[in-house]
Amino acid sequence: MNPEVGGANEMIVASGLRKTLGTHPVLYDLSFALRRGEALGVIGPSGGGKTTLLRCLSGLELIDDGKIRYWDSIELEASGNFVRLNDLNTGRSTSATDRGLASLRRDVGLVFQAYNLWEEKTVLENLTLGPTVVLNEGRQMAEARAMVLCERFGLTAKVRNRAGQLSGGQKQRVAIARALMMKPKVLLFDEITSALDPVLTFDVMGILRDLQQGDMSMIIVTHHIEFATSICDRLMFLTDGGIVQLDEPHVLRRAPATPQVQRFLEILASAR
Amino acid sequence: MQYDWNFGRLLPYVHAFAVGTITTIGLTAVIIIVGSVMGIALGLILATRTGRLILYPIVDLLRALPPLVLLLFMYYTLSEDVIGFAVSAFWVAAIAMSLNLAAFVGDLVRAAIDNVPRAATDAGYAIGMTRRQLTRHVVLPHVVREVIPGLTVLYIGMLKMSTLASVINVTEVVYTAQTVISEVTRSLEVWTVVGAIFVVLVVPATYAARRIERWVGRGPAAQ
Repeated sequence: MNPEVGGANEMIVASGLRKTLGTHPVLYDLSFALRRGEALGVIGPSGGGKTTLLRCLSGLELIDDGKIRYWDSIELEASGNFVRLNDLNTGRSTSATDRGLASLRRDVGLVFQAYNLWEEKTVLENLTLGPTVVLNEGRQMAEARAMVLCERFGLTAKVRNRAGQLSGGQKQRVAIARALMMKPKVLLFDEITSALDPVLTFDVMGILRDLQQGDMSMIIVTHHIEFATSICDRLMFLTDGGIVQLDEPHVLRRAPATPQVQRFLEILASAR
Repeated sequence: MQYDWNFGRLLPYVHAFAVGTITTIGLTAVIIIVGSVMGIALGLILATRTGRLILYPIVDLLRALPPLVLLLFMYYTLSEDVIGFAVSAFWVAAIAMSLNLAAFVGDLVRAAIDNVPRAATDAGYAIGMTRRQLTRHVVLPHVVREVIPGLTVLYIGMLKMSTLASVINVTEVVYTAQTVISEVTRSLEVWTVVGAIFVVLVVPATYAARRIERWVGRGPAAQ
């Protein structure tokens, strides 16, 4: 058990999340929990709020209303124009400053759909910049850890290449490795296989399966229903910023809560 | 063409040309250093909404003025009659052209900051970087890479533009040339020498600039 996470059974508890972009409400009164070691899949039509949800959970976007509790230690609380970070251990509450949010984001890894690598930096630099700058880890130690991850992800031959020179599959593996280098408590994946061909998708799925077996708590946004069914402990169907159904994959597939869920599942299945 | 070339007449002025060349190099170096420091600071301010509102009118004004007009304006402004003490012609030229360079460098830096991909900054924030860490390790390297090609063009242009300082009697190469011509009346030879001096200064600088651009663009990564 990770001592920093304590005995929390839920790694993320979101309550009443609301988020509006411009005048368009993207998340509407959204509540759910991510359990320890759970892989929670998020499916739903495009524009339904999946990416915004991940960005809000990672602290990249601030919620307008609601609370997000992280592993019984930190709580992000928004009400009106005020967003606060509450330390649940000390009872201290501060406004969500750049530094406070940075410290939260360090523990919530986010892997982007478009990789978001630093294209001009080498693979090794992409992997070690976070640990050396954010975690104050020694360069040698960071590089040693990076090399272990590169070996595991089949990137050893590419460590000195610039990220911009890599293929899509390699970039996605670097992006996952970069998130893992920060030793996150939770990992969020945003449609990470959407730009990959079936072989590369299979590759990346293997990595996620390994992570799941390693007890990593994950939220996986995906359109790959077979993959979601096989790896995720539960599936959330999200549309128009709200949760329509949150169930175990076989339940959701066998008994869709609404005709919309059923239709969506049929389309996903026929697209594969 | 029956022109009788005679460079021998210029031999007594070798020292004067050397001093003029050193003054040209010195003036350009001062302009580049002062103009760049001011320009980078300006660019950082212009990257903010408030900074843009306040400073863009000034930047646009500086960019609109022909350098010669700005130089003459500063020459008459930084005089004893106006400010109570005299500034040497060298420093008047340095200040005027630094302002001109700063306006262009500022806009270059502002554009480079605006062009930092959102994906790159999101990635930095996502791994827990603070704004300062992101600026130092993600934004700055990107800005340096983006501005270097534009800066080298501006710097080489400034080396040539420094000849304008001759109109306010800075004893740089062109001023020296005009003095020599008034004494030896060998204009063609004198301007040939001046041209040769600039070729010797500019061509290596251009090659160096290209090497720097390639180095910055490629970085240390394996190819």
